[in-house]
Amino acid sequence: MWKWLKRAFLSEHEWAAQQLSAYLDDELSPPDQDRVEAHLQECPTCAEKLRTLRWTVNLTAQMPMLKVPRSFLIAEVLAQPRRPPLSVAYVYLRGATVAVAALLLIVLASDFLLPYTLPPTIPAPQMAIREALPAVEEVQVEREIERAAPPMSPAPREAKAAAKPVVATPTSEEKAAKEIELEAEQVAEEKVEQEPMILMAPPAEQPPDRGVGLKGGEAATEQETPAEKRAVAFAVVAPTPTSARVVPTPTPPPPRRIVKAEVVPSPQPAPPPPAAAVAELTEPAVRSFSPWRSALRFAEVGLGLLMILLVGSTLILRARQG
Amino acid sequence: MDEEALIAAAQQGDTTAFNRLVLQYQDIAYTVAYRIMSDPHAAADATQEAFISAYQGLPRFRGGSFKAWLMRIVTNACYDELRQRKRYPHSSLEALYVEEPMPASSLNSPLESPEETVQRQELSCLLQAGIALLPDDQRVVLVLSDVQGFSYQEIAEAVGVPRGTVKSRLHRARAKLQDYLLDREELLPARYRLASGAPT
Repeated sequence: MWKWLKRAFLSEHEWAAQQLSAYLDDELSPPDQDRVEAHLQECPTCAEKLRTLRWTVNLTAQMPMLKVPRSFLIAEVLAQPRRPPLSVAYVYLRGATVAVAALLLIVLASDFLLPYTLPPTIPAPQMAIREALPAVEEVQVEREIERAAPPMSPAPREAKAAAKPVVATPTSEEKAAKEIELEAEQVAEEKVEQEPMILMAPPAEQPPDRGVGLKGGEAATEQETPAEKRAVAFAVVAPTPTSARVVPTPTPPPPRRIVKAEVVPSPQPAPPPPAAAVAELTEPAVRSFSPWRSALRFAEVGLGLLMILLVGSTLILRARQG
Repeated sequence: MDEEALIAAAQQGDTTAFNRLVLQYQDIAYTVAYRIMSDPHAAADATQEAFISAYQGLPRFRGGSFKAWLMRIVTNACYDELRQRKRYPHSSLEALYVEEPMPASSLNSPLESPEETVQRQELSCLLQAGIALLPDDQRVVLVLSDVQGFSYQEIAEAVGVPRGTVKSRLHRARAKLQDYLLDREELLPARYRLASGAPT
């Protein structure tokens, strides 16, 4: 295209002058050669240019071949370290391994630096929640103690109750309350050591006739009113290695409130608040970069697996090449 | 043993076969290197580097003109050396005061008188100075074409450019060298002057 345009805008004289060098070397196509020769017949200027150009080329051709100052023979030593050329697959694999390693480093660095680069944006209400966190923790402690307060305790106590069933009467409510008080203190002491997993059980809609025979007859449970039985029941699952047992319990009677009030100021160290509750309260603070973090973790795992594959393939290929 | 057999043996690691190729082409390689660089020491270094590179890269040689392939390595070595000299210009100043190496055929040309040999040496020195003034790409093409007699196709393979580029570069290089010689025609020996009926 450019050649055609150039030829279209050049005059015949200019075009022929540019072709003289190739014409001299006999490197023109036959039509161009005929065209140049026709122009040389008509243009003495170009004929003179061709004569001068041929003089220059002939003088240059007389430059002698030079004598080498020393021998350039290859020594035997140079023959030894020659290695066969690397295969294309190996070169590409090596490059890909380096690229993936660099990418993995960048992702790891991003994961490490993310908490420092993104300032935690905590709104004012969440800050208020954070400031109120100690008070919430206290409430949580009370809830824990309240859950631990019912006489439903681990397996040994159930076995004891099964061996000695108690038939409660309305007149024995105070006696049962004392037992509950003692057991609550015992449970508060044991909880520090055992830390049973506490689960929320669904509301127990139990018929009145099933109250006694639930687990071998629990004290102070068969005289409860239906309204109390509809209340939320707690279940204490003992960390036994064989199986986790869920024991539905009735709503604690009024004396248990007194028990709770007496247990709270006890000198026993309060158990720490559950991690889930704390995480629930502090989660909004880290929610701003958690999607980034999960994406980075996913990329780290993927790139790590890819890196292992590439390194293995590269090493195998290199071992085969020797 | 012909050239193809030597190349095949050298590709298998036969150093003796490769050295026979070196003996066959070292004059051309050194002359090209000197005409491009105008410095005998740098030309010798570039030639040595080129032969080492050729030996190491011989397994990648896939046939064709071995001379063009070797000249490509030589010109690349010269380019590398020229780039290094541009970083350290003092070496080019030294080259101005270095005499041209002896011709390879000066002692073996019974048809040429000693006087003609001297005149030819003067012509060569003048032309070498003119060639040194050309740009690198034009100089390489002119040396390969007019000094060594390569065809356009061989030059294209050696330099790694299309034939059209070779043609245009050679056209410009010859025009510049022609002007250079016309300006210094009186410095040429009488038998080489254009006005005195030099061979055209």
